[in-house]
Amino acid sequence: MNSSLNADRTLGDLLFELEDATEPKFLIAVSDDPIQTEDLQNRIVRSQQAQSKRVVNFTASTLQSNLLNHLHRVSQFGTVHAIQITDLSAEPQRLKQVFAQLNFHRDALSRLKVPLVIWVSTSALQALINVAPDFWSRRGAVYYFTTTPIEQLLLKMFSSGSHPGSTDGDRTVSQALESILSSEAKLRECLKNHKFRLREADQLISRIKNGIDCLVAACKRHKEIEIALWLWNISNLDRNLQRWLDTLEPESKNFYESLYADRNEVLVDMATHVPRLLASYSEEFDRGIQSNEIVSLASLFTEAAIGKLNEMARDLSAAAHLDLEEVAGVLGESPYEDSEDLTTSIFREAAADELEHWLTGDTKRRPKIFTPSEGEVLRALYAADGNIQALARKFHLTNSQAANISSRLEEKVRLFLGAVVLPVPKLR
Amino acid sequence: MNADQRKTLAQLLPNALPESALIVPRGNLPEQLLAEIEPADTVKLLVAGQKGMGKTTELRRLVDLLLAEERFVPVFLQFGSQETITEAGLLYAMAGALYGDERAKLGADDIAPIQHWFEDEEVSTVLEEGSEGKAGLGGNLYVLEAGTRITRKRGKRVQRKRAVVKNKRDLLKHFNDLITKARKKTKKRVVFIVDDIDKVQNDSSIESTFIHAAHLIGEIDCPCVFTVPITYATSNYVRMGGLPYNELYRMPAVALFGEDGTRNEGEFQFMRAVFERRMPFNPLSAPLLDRVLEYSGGVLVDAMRLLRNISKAVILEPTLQINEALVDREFQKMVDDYRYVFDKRELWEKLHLYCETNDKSVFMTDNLMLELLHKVVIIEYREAKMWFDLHPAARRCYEQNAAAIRRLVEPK
Repeated sequence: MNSSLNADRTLGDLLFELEDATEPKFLIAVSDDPIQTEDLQNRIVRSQQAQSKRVVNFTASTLQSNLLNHLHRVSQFGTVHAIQITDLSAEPQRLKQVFAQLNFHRDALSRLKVPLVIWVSTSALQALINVAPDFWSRRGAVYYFTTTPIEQLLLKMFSSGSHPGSTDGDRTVSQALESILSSEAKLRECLKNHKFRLREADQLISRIKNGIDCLVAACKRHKEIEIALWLWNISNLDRNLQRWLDTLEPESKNFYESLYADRNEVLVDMATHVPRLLASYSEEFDRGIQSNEIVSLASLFTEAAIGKLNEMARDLSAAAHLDLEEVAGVLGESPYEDSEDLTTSIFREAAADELEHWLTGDTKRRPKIFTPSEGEVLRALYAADGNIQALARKFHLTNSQAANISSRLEEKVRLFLGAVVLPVPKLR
Repeated sequence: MNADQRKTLAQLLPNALPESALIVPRGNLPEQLLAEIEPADTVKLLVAGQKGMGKTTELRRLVDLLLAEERFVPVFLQFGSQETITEAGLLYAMAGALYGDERAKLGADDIAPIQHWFEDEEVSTVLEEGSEGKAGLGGNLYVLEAGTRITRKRGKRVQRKRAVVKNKRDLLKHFNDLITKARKKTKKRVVFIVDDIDKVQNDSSIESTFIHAAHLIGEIDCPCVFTVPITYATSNYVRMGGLPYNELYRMPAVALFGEDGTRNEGEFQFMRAVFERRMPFNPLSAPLLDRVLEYSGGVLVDAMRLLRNISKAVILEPTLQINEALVDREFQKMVDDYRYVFDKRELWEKLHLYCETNDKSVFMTDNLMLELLHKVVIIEYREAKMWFDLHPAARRCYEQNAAAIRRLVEPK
């Protein structure tokens, strides 16, 4: 609490402001001690009375409604030289109502041309700043008769049980994609409502743009394949290719199963196009806001991937003298169909076989999805039966580093095998 | 206290409305707006900025510029503190302001169609009331009073929906007819400058009018300038959504220093000129005045407050030494205020992040950016491009309490 001497000096400053009663001033007095507060308010009244000036006090309960009417009524004849608003340590709801009116009527209160002294506690002061920011910006001065140590203020906030602050930091590809896809769906819903809230729309647009920025940054860290793998899984392309295969006669089916190998080629090819895809998405997204047609990143990717697959299928068809239309038609369907989860997929089985054959050394052909150094680590992990310490020893890493690398590779393997799905909304 | 001292304290009050003689032209916003207005009959311009940056002062300068051109009838109205805004209410207020401006040379007959539009709404309600046998005014409606003041009536809800007699397109048509009449009678172009839209309490009503019903605003048949909430300046949707606004102008703080920390002497000269006019009593030397301006971060209202408190301290104690310690003492009061501005954990964490990284680009994508702007924790500047920085008082608040804040933000 402020010393008596400081309080006197502070009060002297406040009384000086009340000397000229024809100027509009918003003066805020802060005190946590109700006895001290009452004493100071009385001293103000007495000091003004000694100069034949009149001070009127209002409590928060009186001003809860019709604040302006009350203040205007007492000040209109020029017989009041200052107004004090007291008892603002009352219930939060009452406080809010008074502060909201102070904010709302600040222009009219200025025109009253009477100094206004608002008495608040330190906690009420925070509420004032929050609820009446425009009034606050017009404050003439703040008089602290109580000072709360900053540590106390901080402890109060940080011990309130709220979650530790999170910073954006490094976001993974999956987090960015999840953010983009869920925000796309919510934005479509939001803009359907012709009375949508601007803040909500802006937040969703921001999330999408931040997600794209994150993916662009990931591309600069050579994560294009991860992005392509995630989008491939999200688009359920393995499933759709499998559905298409299942419609074929056995002879054709066997023939087109070779597309599996090309599936990996397509993935690698799509990875090289990810930066361009993201740029194209950004442009289309901006245009889509104007026309209320929100483009889908996954759909753009799917379209590009299917285009590539169709191109390869056409080449194969021509070579085998098969009917092209039959092939293109199925592949051209949207992947976002409601259907049961496909438990058997020749593509996923083939991916698993390919990976295992390579890990066991049956083949030297490393799946192109994995870089040479990733391949080394995967083989080491396979040989050590997933033992992290063994991995750390082999590559001269700490256990923590080895665990991180292992975790990251595990995700990539699961993506490769089609065993990871983001919880994305169905589009159809 | 002598007359100069009294005048200085009065002219430095944040609430004081500046007389023309006190206004120092700041930048070229009025000239930019005029350049947009001149060639285009129906341009719609938005102006946004943080509190205390001088928007109203610059818009009043625009009015003076338009009057000086002698080809325009500028109609300035301050929407002031309203609870809500609607398209109909906005058009009615603008019509009332145009009718009330003698330069527009409009008569009672000219505004009659607009008045009838609102009266007809009430007539239909009265009929319904009669048929129901008891008072049943539903919702809010605008009632014409003598003169051009708008008031609202609030009534009990009725079970049945009241049929709307006229739609807003009719009102818009009447409004545009009024503008045409003013144009014909004066042989000049009408320009509306509507200030303080951003002060309307209910921000969803502002969105209803300026976002969802933007097409209606876009069809007003003359140039208009509206001040809008700072949200609009940072809104992706406003920028991308194809709304009928030609441009959004921002009113930033005075960039005393560039983004790279280079001192902008021209901006210092501007602020010195502002306070030279407002301070017939100036106890500060030039270096001390500059120190105060630096502490304000280029926020005019904060500079006013600091200078007023310093002047008052000297008036109260004439033997006071006027030096850096005095300036720092008054600045410390502003720093102390910021302790209470940071009213939640996340804001302290943001402050910690900004002060520790010292990377100005982080503000742009911060999820709390709007709140930080509203609370003037961060300040918007503009040179070649827009950028942001912490308010000097906020930064000092962190520096003085860094150890305590770090302990809590970065627990071991």
